[in-house]
Amino acid sequence: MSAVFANLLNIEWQQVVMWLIGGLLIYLAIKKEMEPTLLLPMGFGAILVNLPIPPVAEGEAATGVRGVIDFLFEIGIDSHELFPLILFIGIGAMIDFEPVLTNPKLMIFGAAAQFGIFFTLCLASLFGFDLKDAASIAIIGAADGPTSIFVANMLNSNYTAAIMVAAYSYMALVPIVQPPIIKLCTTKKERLIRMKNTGKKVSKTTKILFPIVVTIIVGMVAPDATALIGFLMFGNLIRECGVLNSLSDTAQNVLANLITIFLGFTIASKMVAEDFLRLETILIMCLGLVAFVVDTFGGIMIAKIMNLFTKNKINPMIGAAGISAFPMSARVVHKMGLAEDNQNFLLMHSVGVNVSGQVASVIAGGLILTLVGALIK
Amino acid sequence: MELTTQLAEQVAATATDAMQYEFAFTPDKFIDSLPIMGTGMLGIFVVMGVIILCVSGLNALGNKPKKEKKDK
Repeated sequence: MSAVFANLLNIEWQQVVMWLIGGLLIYLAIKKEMEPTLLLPMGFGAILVNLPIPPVAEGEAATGVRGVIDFLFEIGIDSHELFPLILFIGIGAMIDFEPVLTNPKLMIFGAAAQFGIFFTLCLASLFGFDLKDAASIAIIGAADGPTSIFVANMLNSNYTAAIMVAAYSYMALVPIVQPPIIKLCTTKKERLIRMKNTGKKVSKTTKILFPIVVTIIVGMVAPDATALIGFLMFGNLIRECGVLNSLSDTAQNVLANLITIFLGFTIASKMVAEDFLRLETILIMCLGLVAFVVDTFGGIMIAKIMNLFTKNKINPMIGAAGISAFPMSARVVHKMGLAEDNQNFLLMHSVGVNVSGQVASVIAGGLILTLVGALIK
Repeated sequence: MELTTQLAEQVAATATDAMQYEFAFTPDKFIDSLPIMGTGMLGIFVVMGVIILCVSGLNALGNKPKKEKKDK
């Protein structure tokens, strides 16, 4: 009988803390419906990998359940970043670029809202992180899980787990993080600015050529981001070509959900107590928050600057949607616009900025890999 | 079995590397990273600018009014 309960003595307090963290993630997924396809497997996985291992099996920790999850990490992320790339096909199939194609100027906001990435890189360097780790932490500001995983893994960061958790947690927390920053950076008068819809139509040829052209441009400027942008734009091409509708539907729903679930479990493999419960994790979570805040600030400020020179005023709140975090950020801005004036419909503009941010965040990831990669070689 | 051994080694190596971090203010590293910020932001704006030009071009070509065929 004592053999049955012997393993209870192997429980460490750090593991109990990780169970609580896992429980919190499950609570957020179910009760608050925050990224449930990701947070639920992550939370459950965090509990799973922190169950005590009998001492006799300590030397063979990579077998059993941990072995399976480590294997998923090895094939899904570590070897060729397979999961984030396949997930990008699904995300690409979900994105309708029409709002930004009718008003290409919106892409400027997407570019400006990546400022948080580079600001955080400098800040992480100030706190003593190596350049590769600082760059990996900074990419949390891309507000895009697959890009964060891809860059952190390519740079061989020591903090991949904390970076993944921070990236996905803050994406889920966009409705809580962004509104106070937006309110702080804008006046009521600015929030009430109404924007007209352009009413322009986009031809099918343009919609089909857009993913191909973007892939070529980004591939030439930031070759390290070719895989990311290529898979994203391939997903979008499936959507727009008009002859692969069932495949597009599968990519948007079944494929994306399945890969996200595996990704959640895989990330959990790095949430082992001894690697996760450290001062650096708290610091990384704080730096990730700074990246999101500065991204939001950057997007809003560029709108304010543009308002100084343009006749048709822009509601600066839409700049905040350039953070990527598709489509939560666009929804947040739209809801805030309606809260100020129930006839102010900003959705089309904020979605346009939001999808621009998606493209810009991939470019930022590619540029980080190119610039930092050249320095650390 | 080889794979599991490799994985265990990788995890151990990662943990050892991670232990090397020590909290410290390093203004030198901060200053060294500023050019990356400048180049990175400039790069994003240039690439997005090129994409804006291409999209405007595609829109101009795509929205050209088609010549109606004259009935004979």
